[in-house]
Amino acid sequence: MNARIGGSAALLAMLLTFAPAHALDYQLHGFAAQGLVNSEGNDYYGDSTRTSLDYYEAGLNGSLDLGHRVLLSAQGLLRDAGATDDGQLRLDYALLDYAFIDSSAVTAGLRAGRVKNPLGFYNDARDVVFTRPGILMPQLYLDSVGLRSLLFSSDGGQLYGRVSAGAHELSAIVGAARDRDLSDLEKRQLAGSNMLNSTDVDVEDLRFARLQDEIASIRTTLAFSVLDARLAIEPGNLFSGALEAELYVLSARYDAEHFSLISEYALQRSRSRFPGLGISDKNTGDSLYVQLDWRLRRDTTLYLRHDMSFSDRGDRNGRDYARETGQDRHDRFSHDSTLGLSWRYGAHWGLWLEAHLIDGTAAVPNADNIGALRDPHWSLFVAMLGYRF
Amino acid sequence: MRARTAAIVLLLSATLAHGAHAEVEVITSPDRSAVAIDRSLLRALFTMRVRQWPDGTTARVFVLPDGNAVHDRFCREVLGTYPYVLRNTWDRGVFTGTGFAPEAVSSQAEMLDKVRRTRGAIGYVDRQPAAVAPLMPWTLTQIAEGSQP
Repeated sequence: MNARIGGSAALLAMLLTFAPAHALDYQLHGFAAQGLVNSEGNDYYGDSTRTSLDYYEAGLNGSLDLGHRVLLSAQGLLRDAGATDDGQLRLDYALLDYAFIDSSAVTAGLRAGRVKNPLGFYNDARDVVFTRPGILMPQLYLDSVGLRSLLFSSDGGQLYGRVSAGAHELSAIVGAARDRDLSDLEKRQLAGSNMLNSTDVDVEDLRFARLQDEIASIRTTLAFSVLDARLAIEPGNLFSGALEAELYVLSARYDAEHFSLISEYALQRSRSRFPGLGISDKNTGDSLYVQLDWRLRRDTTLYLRHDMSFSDRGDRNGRDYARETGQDRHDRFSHDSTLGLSWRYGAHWGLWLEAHLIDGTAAVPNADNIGALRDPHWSLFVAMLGYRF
Repeated sequence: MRARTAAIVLLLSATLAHGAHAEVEVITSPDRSAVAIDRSLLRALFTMRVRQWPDGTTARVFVLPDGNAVHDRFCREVLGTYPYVLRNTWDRGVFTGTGFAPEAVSSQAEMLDKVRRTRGAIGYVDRQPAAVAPLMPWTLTQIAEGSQP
């Protein structure tokens, strides 16, 4: 509590120092969306085999121009997604952005505070359906399994830059986050059970980088992103050890008048060492999706996506895994074919309808299906109605 | 403020067969009179990648709604992009806390009014309804020759 008051006082002092003589320029935006999920075979975001409405998101953000090329921005949001997210209000980002170079040819600056992490095309704006490529994120973004909370924002700093060179617009961001403890919800998401709840799990050395090139003359955007993190589990404990993960993402997009073609490939390397359990393991998984957005009309888009993810690149059908562990091989991959339709009404409303046919259970949310038998051939229908201003 | 009568020269690609006067023109507030705007600055302003003019004045960007025909022509003919691409760029800036969105106006009359009265403002209008032309005390800017679209 004291730290928070001290922080607010410091922020206020900073505001008063920077405030120009005239009124500060600011913008306020927000959004709210309610989802409906119906699934066959496995639960997804709630009791979806009986239709779940446990899927909604809402947020409010503000941005204040303090002058001297300083921007102050913050967003609070809440999101419920069955057992994988708890509907609690959280601070999504709160940052100070200072652009020390701000010209049409070159921009460079830094951001500090709680910042959105750059990864691929969609990670930083993933919590708003209006900025996602569909209702559900492609699998590489770890929306239903693993630690999504590691991905969306982190407390730390970023350095960013942009250069305009002929038809190319190059931009880069690098960021690093403070070490922190995982919350109980995050530990439950990670373990798929409550087994880590009394264990101390730290995220250390969390780093992000993304390089992007927008080539206007061929309407193409390319990007390369990297994430690096280490999870350290309480020393002196049976489960003590570390999990080191690296995620590399290659992204490409082509934006034509009536259609867009998007594709991203992700390589996920992890190394886990749990001496107390005698585990020393290295693994490389990957994932690829291709999406076609077809703009039937200005306000109506049909989208098709094929999304594949594999827990182990060397064992794409999971048979080696099944042989070694006796578990279901279908847990090691997920092939998702998606058909969706989005409709925008005016500047504020949007409606999305999406159907997924999925082969494999790698994307089944652990927290929604604890102890349940998993159906390897399953389907999802998701709808979402959203409002933004 | 008296209108300046500097001619606007908008470079269009060779495939567009327009005469000396383009249909969609960039307009700025009177305090921008001495500013030469090249295509690179124009694009940077409308994609919200720069927040201020070279002299440090905060840029105030005004746009017509996404479905508006003049907005559509402005995106294609002047910026060389599509309305949906711009919309995606603005949304990402707004929902990641990294930028402002341009201010939406509901009509060309409102566009003219706001741009004239707001310091550091930039917008665009369709000059064609000839009756509108004499009512516009805006400052015309010159798009530098030879810049890439």
